[in-house]
Amino acid sequence: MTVTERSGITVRDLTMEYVSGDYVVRPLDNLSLEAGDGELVVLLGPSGSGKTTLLSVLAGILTPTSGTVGVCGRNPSKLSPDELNDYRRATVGIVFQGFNLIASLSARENAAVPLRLSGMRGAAVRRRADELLAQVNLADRAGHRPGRMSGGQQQRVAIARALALNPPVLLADEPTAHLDHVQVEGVITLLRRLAEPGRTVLVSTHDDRMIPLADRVIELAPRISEDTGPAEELTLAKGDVLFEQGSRGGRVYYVEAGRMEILRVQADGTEEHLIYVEPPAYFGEMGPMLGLPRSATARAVTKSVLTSYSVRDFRHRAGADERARGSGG
Amino acid sequence: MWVLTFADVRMRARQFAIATIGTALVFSMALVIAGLSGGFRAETRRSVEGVGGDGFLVTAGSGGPFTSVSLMPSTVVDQVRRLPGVTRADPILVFQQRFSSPRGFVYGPVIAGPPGGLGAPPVRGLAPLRHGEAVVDDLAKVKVGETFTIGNERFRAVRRVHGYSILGGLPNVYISLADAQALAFSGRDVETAVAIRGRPTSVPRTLALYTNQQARQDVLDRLGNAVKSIDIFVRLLWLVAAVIIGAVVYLSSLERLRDFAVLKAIGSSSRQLYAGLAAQAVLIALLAAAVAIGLLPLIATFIPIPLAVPVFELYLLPIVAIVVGLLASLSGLRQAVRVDPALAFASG
Repeated sequence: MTVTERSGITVRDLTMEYVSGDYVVRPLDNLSLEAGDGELVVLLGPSGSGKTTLLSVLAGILTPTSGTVGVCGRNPSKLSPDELNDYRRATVGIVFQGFNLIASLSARENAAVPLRLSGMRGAAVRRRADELLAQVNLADRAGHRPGRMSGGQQQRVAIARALALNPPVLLADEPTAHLDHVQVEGVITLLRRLAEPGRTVLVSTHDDRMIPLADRVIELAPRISEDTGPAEELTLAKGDVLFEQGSRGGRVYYVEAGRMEILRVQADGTEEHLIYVEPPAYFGEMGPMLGLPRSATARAVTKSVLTSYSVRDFRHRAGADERARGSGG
Repeated sequence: MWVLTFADVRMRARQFAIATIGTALVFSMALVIAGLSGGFRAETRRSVEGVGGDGFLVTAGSGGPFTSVSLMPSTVVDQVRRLPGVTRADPILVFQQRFSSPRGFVYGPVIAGPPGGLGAPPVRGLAPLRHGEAVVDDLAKVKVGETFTIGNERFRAVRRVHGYSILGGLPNVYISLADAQALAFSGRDVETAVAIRGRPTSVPRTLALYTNQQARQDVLDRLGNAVKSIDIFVRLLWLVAAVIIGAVVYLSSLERLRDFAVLKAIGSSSRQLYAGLAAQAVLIALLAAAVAIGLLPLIATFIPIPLAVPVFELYLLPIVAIVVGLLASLSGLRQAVRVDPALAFASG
């Protein structure tokens, strides 16, 4: 399967920043990926790793800070409002994490919403909606409202709705998040079946049960703990920045001498002081351990000497320090 | 997206029913009040035209024939009969009086004219009233055959008429001219106005001409502030209706924010979302207008003074309802336009 100018998804150097409270968050940092026609691509990563942000960019709902996106040859951030509405109806179908069916509508009417939005009327709408429900094995639930259906059935109606105008790209955000294992199997099998020539299926999930069925798996939060390099000593001059907020890294730092400042850069560019770190203390352990970007910037206040550790070595030293304190006290 | 609009109405039927009933009551109140205003005009027109002439001549400088009492000697009638353009002239007496009926005291105008002449009761084929006989409007609460007193004189109601009153339901009492002169002016041969047919081409300086239209307007001028207040009140009630519907549409739009976000995320425009809200609001308003028109006869039975809802008000109401609905739907416009489709991706 290949990505061509008119099919599949291409993402190049995509960075997405937004303001959350007082500070800037960068869930996507220089991300590049491809998803070819007919492929089932799984975006794997923990909460906060930018999966939903990426899907929102691909759906034309968020505009990236930098980088380019191509979905079947179209860049959603370059479209006019009317073109964007058309794009969301006909080019991408979206399956939301919380099903997001319209509670007042029956399964058939929910599946028909994109058809009606596109101007289709009359018996053709009903015929197509029934086809869609049959495609997701829900023909016998056409008249049921969401409140009378199980989570798995609701998710299949959501998939039917996403397929209404036969879009070449299907985006599914955590489609198994609210389902039990029986329902998960049905939804995963359905998504696998839908990835066929003429359609790319991109699924974001933290559920690694989808991995065996995927044509391609893209990990949005690289497993930083794989950094197993030996401990290293490094010296920083006054004012040197060790790492920046939003960057990724796999090392944890002990301050051996000097003084480090941990600060957070606010949305307006000003800096909020959080804490000074002096020997014997460490910092920067949460990002690597959780696989998240750094939540703050570390800068030397004075000339400082640090030792950097992999997560495994950091645990070893921290444990040893704890034991030493225990025996000493 | 009518399916979505109607489905939402169906799902929130109770909420929308309450709004519809509330709005219908407000609309019916507006109609009733407009009916009051119309009633003032209708009763005045009937009372003035019920005299049977084309106009009145009164003493110059006094008010209209139904609103002021300025006595004229009976010789004036002969003078008026000779005026060019006058085909008939009869003396009439009109004065306000309190009278007591078996069911209480009532105020109203006493109207008297010569037997078979202008100012006689507006009842076709009725024999001239004799001494002690009266024709009364329904609002006088006197039944046919019952007696009542005006001053110290007793009268017997021989007929009732409907809709002959002035100043918001003060019932007319028709008696003979001789009885009226005896009752109020010690039997003197005087009148308060001369009712005429025809149109005099010139009028002596001592007299003033009131056409029927002017006589009506003279009465309505006494109610000028009341009528203006009523008109303002009707507009305010329309506004209240818009607020009721607006509140329901606004709350509905707040409850549907996630739906709006999802619809936008799958390709709906803000325009389509707003059209759905506007359709809901107009639907409520039109249903309310229909219910209000249906309720009107029922409510009218509780109103003691005559109502005359102008026909144009009934035709106007659906148009008002549409405008009210559209105005009300603006309350949800902000939600429809500003909702962020990214909300659809939020879990929970």
